[in-house]
Amino acid sequence: MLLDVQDLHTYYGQSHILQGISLCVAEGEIVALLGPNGMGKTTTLRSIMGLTPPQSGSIIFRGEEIRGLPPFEIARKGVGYVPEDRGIFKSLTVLQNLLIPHLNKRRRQEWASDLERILGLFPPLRTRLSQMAGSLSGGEQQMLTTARGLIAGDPLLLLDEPTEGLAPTVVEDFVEALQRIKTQKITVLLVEQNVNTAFETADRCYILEKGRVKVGGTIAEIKKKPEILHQYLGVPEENGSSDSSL
Amino acid sequence: MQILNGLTIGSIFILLSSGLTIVFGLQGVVNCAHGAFYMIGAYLAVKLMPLLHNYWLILAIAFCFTFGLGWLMERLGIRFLVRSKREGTHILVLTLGLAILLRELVKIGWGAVPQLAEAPAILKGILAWGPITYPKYWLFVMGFTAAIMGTLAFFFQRTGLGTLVQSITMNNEVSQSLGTNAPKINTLVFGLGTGIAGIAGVLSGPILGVEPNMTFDLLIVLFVVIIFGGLGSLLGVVISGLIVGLVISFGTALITGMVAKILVFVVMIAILLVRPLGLFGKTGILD
Repeated sequence: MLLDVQDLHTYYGQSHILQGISLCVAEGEIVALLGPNGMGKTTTLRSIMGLTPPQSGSIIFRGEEIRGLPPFEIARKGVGYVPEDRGIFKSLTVLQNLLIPHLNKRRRQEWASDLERILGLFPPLRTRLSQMAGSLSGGEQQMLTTARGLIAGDPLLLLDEPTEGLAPTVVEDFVEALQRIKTQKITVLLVEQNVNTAFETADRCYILEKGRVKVGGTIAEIKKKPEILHQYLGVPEENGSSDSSL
Repeated sequence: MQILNGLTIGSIFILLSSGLTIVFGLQGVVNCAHGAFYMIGAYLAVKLMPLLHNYWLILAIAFCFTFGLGWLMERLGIRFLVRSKREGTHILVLTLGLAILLRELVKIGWGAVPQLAEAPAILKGILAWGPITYPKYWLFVMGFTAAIMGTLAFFFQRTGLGTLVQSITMNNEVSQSLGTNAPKINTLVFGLGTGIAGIAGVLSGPILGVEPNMTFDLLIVLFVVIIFGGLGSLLGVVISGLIVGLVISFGTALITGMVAKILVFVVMIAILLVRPLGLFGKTGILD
């Protein structure tokens, strides 16, 4: 297992947000965290990253306990984080945004190949490198922050709601980019509100409710259980059953 | 003549407020002890000159010493208050208390009598250019300030470390989650700010004099400069430092020193009414 989270408890002040989350992510997998808002999906990512330090539990990354480390050390071990609000540095250029993880890793010799790899995944960024990041469109900003996360997050990327607020055609582009990421054997833990996007990209998923994992399994398994889709994800049940209940 | 006076005084304001504003932009910390480092720099110049006779060496020593003091202050005090989210009052008490402590220690050690520091021999005398005559040393202060501000701009704009500092200013959490060791960089930049205050002390000694009260004398004016320039903006303090210097210089010459200081506030309020965030109030250091 690349990432193995066991019995994670996290609080925001007095409120007990994560009430014993356990999940794992194997190398090369895309794993989605699903569930309604306020169930602890974002907090799970923030806890792994050390931004909202968990009270108890364990987070084993590449065989090493990372719970309790400051975020910058977790990042330097190869965990990339893409926040929900994208967190791009608007007054820096696109290139400077991408450069930041490298400035911290001090692996200058790999910069050129890393940049090529990233621009291969997100071709529209190539012509924007010297532009201020704040002048990019929403979709381009999402590409930039994901690209930046991928440079930092080698081998694991934590991706929070990447398609939120994007136009449907832009979402399609982004799903394609995620599928390209998948072919490169990059590991992703994805929080996604949009069930269809998650199903198109992920291998497995966990459904969270009230700070606990309710259901976990491969996408194919989950798809076969309409009652789960209905109960936790708000997907309407198939015609027959929903009509008959009326 | 008043223009040149204003620019020289403005240079001191710029040096002092640059450190204040950068640290504010980075950590949201208002360092009320900033003037203490300025005073220490000035006293180092006065006390070391008879021993070393080398102005440039003293500049370097003053920078290193005040840098080190600032480094310790952040590392041992400020850092913990910022981390436990006790920015406001706690930091005010800590920095103000430290400023008073340092001022009183200097009073005990060296007395409270104002002294005038000596300009280096090479910069003594007057430069005449047509009808305008002006002390060489004052011109040097302007040039040196320009050089330091140029270096700072280069550091923030062109170096990797500068880019990281900017990224922390814009979004501390995201920068850390990309591997930036923000605590270490914050300490370094805090030291850089106090180090520049130390340099400002050495530079201003022969112009404004040296006394323990310089710890607080300029503090209010500096707050005006950084608010007026837009909190956290380096370009802002350069412009507003010069404007405030000119207002004080003309005000003092044409009316009186007291009125001049009031005039500064009038100008600031007038500008804040039009631009509530100050001249360059934005998110980045270089905006």
